Amino acid sequence: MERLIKNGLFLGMLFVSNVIFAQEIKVSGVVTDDVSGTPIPGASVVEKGTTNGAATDFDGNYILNVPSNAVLVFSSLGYTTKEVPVNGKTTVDIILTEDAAQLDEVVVVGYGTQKKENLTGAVGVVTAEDMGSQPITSAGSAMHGRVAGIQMIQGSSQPGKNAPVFQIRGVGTIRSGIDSQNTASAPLILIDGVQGTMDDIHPSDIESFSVLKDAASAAIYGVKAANGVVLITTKRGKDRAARVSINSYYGVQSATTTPTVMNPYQFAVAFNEAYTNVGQDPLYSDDLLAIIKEGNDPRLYNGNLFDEGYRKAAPLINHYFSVTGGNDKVKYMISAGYQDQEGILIETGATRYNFRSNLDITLSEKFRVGLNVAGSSSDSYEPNYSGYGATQVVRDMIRKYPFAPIFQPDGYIAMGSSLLNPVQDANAINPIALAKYGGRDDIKTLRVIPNVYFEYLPIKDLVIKVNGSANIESSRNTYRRNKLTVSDGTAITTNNGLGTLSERAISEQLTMLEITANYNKSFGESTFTALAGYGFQKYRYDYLRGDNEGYSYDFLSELDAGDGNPSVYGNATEYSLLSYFGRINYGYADKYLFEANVRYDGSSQFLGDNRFAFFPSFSVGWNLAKESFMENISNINLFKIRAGWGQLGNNQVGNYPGVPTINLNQPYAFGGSLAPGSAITALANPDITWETTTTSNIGLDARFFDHRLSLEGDYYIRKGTDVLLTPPIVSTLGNVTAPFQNFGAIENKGWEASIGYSDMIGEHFSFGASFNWTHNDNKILKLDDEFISANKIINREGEPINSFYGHRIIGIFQTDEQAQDFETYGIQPGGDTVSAGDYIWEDTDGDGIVDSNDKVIIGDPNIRNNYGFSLDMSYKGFDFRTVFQGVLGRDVERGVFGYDARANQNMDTWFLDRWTPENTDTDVPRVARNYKYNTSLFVGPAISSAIVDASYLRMKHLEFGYSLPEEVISKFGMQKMRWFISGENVFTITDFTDGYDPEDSRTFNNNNDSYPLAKTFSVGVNLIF
Amino acid sequence: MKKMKRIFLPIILVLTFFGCSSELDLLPLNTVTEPTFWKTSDDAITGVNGVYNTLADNYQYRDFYMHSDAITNNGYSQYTFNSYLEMSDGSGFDSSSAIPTQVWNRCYEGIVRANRVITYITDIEMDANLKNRILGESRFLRALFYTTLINLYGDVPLILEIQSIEESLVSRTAKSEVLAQIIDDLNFAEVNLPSSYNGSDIGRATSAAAIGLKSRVYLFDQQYALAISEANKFATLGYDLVPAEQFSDMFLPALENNNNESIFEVQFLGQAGVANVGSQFNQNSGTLKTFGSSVFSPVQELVDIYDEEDIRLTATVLRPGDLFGEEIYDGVNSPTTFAFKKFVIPDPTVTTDGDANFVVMRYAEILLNLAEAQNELNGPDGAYAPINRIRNRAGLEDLATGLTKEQMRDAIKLERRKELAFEGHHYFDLLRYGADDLKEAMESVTSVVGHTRSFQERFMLWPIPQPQININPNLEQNPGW
Repeated sequence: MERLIKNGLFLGMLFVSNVIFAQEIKVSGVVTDDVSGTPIPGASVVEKGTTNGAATDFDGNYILNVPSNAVLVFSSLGYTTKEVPVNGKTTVDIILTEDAAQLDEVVVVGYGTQKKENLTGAVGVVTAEDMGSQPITSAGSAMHGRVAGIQMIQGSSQPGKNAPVFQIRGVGTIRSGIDSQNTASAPLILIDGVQGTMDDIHPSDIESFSVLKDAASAAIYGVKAANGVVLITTKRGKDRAARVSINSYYGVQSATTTPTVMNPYQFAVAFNEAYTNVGQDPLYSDDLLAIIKEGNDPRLYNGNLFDEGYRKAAPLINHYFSVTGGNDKVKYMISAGYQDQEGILIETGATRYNFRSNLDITLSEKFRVGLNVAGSSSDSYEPNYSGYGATQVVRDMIRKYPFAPIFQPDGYIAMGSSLLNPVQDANAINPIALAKYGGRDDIKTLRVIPNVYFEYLPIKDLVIKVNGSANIESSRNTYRRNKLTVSDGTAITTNNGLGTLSERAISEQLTMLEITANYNKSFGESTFTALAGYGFQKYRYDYLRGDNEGYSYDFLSELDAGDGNPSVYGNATEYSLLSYFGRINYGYADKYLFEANVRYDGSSQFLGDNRFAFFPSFSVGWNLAKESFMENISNINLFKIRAGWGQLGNNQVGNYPGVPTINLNQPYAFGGSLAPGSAITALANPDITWETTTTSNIGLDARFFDHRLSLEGDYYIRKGTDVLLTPPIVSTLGNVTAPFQNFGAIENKGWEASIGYSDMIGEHFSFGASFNWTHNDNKILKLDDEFISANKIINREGEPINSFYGHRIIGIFQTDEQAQDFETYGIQPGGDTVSAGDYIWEDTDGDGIVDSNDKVIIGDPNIRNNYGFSLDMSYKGFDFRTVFQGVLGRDVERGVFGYDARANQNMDTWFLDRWTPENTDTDVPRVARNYKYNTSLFVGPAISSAIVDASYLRMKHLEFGYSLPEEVISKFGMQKMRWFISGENVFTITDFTDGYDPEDSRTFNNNNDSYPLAKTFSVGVNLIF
Repeated sequence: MKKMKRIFLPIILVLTFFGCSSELDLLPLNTVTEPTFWKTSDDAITGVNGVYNTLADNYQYRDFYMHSDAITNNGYSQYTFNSYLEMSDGSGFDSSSAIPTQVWNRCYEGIVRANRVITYITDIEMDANLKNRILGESRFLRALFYTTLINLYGDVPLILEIQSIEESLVSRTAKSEVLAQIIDDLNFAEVNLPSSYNGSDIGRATSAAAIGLKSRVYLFDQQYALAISEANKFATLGYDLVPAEQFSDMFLPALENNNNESIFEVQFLGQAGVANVGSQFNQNSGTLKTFGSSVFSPVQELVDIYDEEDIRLTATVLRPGDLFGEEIYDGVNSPTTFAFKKFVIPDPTVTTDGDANFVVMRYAEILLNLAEAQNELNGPDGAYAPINRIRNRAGLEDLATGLTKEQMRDAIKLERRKELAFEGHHYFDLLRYGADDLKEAMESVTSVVGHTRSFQERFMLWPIPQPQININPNLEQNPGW
């Protein structure tokens, strides 16, 4: 009621003031930014309908004489213009809101920016805004689920080794290794134009990612761009008062899934069965079984390996500090970050310090200069007792016989259980003991990325820029394997001899120089921009390694402390790249758009005329929304059809594949002593050149309802040709190893679509939702000869790369008679006797004999569909955000099948449902000691029962935030205080095998021994001063 | 700021041209590459040494040449794994057989290595005499490899330059053309090679080796007059037969490279710790117990052609009861009870890599070439002198006088087989004598239990390796394969 009266009074006064004659009054006030609350200098304040106006001073203050009934128009670049009636007030303070739409419209592209509306290539964008406060440790994870066209697998959350593996629009070369661990298909990553990796940068420094997906957008990067390009732009200073930001969070990580292995009793029973199934005596007597079942004999391990080996709440700490600001002459962004992550697996962890300083200085109207320096220091560690690091610990928790305690009663590390004989416990050491006492790898990396630029604007519209940069990385890695004094309960020995130490120093340096000229001109309805550039870069890698052995004490950590045989090893490689590039954009009335790029690259990797290659691209766009015939259709803001074609190169072909190497070890005995001889024993092909990727792309960008609804769609054909393969050569060339030739071809075809909607409901509730989908089909077009790797992976023309190849399983034999029908199933690998409880292999060629001719393609490891959707909402101080991400169609060979008592290994609980004469209604085969027939793991061939669809849908990110009201925090000199809680990998929907994470990057022989993926919950705060 | 403008543009120009394309001329840092090689005389020497290296391969003179006697009525190769058995009985001899494939490969390996030396040495600044010597060695070796090829396969691709992959899909060149090139290479070698070497160069090809190979090549091509004239050049070269008591030692380290009968040897060095440097004759022989089973052995049919007083019988074949080194040979290691003795060092510890060289060419062969060419061209009269020198050294009397040309021809064939057994001649001789001789030689071997041989007409020319034809369809297959 009181409020109503107040409003009534106010309206009354308004009425009165309008009626009486307007008096000239002096109005003053402050113009501030809506987010930070900082004053906006240089904002314009104009009396509406007149030229009477003023500009705010450095502190955002203005004074203006206006009639008391005037309307003031406040405007500033990057802010939404606001009109306010004076109504006789002498103080009018105004908060301007940043014009988000306007900022969004600019997209970072190669060597510049472009209005999104005018883009003609396929570019995906993720901004800092999209990322929110997601607690990620590798910057690349921020793109997960947010960009169509990227196939990303997070894989593991191992501290220091958690960069996600990703491809843009599929695998583009046949040289690609198994399991996507290859660099031949990795996209180019540029951080403010400097080539680097996702590990080079603190996620909070990032302003945006631009993913250049097609040749039209990426051709400006020529030979390095065949797999797509990711441009990361860091935050820069602005013309405003200093703003201090602090982002801190504390998180706890646990494993998304834990492998399910048998407990000691289940294992002993199953193993007895595995022995009796092949006619041997059971391994564990009934007495032993009773003790094992009881489970509290101190000579046996009584814990749960994964309870001890996996931390339930491994801490993750992040602090980030930045200052941004500047004036019309100098702008700066200075930041420092700290991340400390303990691993989910015991004895693993990483610490990283980052700093960055981005400085832009305007010397005069014609000269600008800038210096960006970023650096990081990181240190990660993991157990090492085998040379395989953390993975070996997980592997051993899955595989080792589950009997050995950590220590024997005599206090020494236990080798096996003293209750059991060496066969019964396989002399196994408890993996927890191995992880804790077996040794350690330390990786210490220092990185500095300096970048100096100089800009000259000789005439209007022309900017010439000289840009010099480097990415310098130096790492020092220590691999120490300890002497392990162990006891089997009677004798004390060392497990693996004395300790060894290996120290490795790696230094990598990439230096780049780029000179560009940028020209922008508008005349009439036409806009014209041109870019010409020159670039030179040089890379060098140095490796030095020293080893020593004979370490009796674990605390001796220097090479000279060993008393064995020290050895050294080292090598180095280098390459250089010289480039000329250019681009022309022409637009008419923002309606008809045209762009052409060229890049001419020369690389030291190749010889002579093949050294240089030319990469062109063309693209056009047509914005129908601007056509007169569309004018009458309301609510269409943008309707742009675009098409592009271009060629890119793949330089991930190794160094100097065309240079013949002289083999100096071809001696001959003259005069009774050996004389050195030399010859070419491996041919080099001097005609070798780049692999070329040709991309054709058509797309649609549309915006409706005042930009609230957006649609983007692309269809692409990405064809890799001249793929390097080694087809056989005639021996008349000298009986030499065949060289690489530009021979093969591979194709990725697919489409991407994304849709987004954002709106306000009422004054305070805003929301946004977006959804993206990517479909990709991979196919080998040309191959010298089909080849099979690991006896289970085939590369064949017309089929997807690295397809699974093997036997189709059609059931389980129920009787020995059926299994040993020699006409049908007689010939089996290894001459094993196939019995009841074994898989039935399909006779696919119908010749009555099951043999290797029955192998068929039984799976595709490439991601066929992936999708993501996100939702964000805010209401007053509250905000909410979630991102889902999923894969539909990716086959993985799961490895539970490997451990059917074939070797000295524990088994997955999957085998609890194994076939027995009593349990016949099952799809799990019998267990049989040393019997390989029912497994494809490692030995191959693949069998279809092990090929599983690893599709999933996962809540990648969930975040709730609350920002305290400005009135409250301004008392503490703060502009913003936001508390948040967030979750990563919160839940997953999948039909993949229990205990396995479907996002494991291992496609082949995946026996679930990868480092676990983290489910992280964190609480944090964002502060702005 | 004005000054800055004046500086800025020139700097840009300088920077742009600073990175000219010579900056791209990088090469691997940890290996020697062809662009950094072929600069010095040392490079040329190691290059030509690399050609010799191929001679020491198993499918050249380390095994194949000697082992080829096991495809004839001289010997028997007992294991299937190295494919000589299948070739000898004809059962598994086809266009994909290992030996025709590997011998082809290794010959071209040597030829291409020689071609590289011949091509790249041109631009090396070095002593002209040394350059010509290395060219001579390379061309001699190339001729030697081509000789093997034409004798086995007939027409073969004649490759004299470095080829690119595109250029490599060649067709076969007529044997006569290859032969002309062989002679051309050997004529060059004859002129440019020295008559002998000292010290660490001993073992390189000499002018006499070039002449001797010419006499062989002309003889094989039935150009008898030229064969005679080449053989006659030896009259002034200082070569002679070693005395009878040195006959055995001629094939052993004691006398190798150091007797005036030997013309060209493939050099082997034991215990060098490097592959294909030591000989494997000991390992193949089965002569001593420590050597294990013999890989191939002489057959009764060979033993039977020698007279008991012929010194070559005991120098060539070890029979049970014979003393070898300090051991009485018992024949247990051999399926035929016999073991070959040439090139076998009587040392029970040399079970693998041995020091014994393989004698490719010696004066006795020149005399036999001369005798044969004389008989074919001018009748038996001119053949007596050279053949009787061979017989007398072996402890045999002169051939009976008054032989007809045909009788003399048979006598020479027999003498050649006896003299040169296990020196890699007999199989090649049978191929050139003709199908009747090869058939007779193969099918006459009946002494090995459970082993019979059957001849096929197509054996007269080896098959071009099928894998090569698959890659290069321009290679036409020999008849019958």
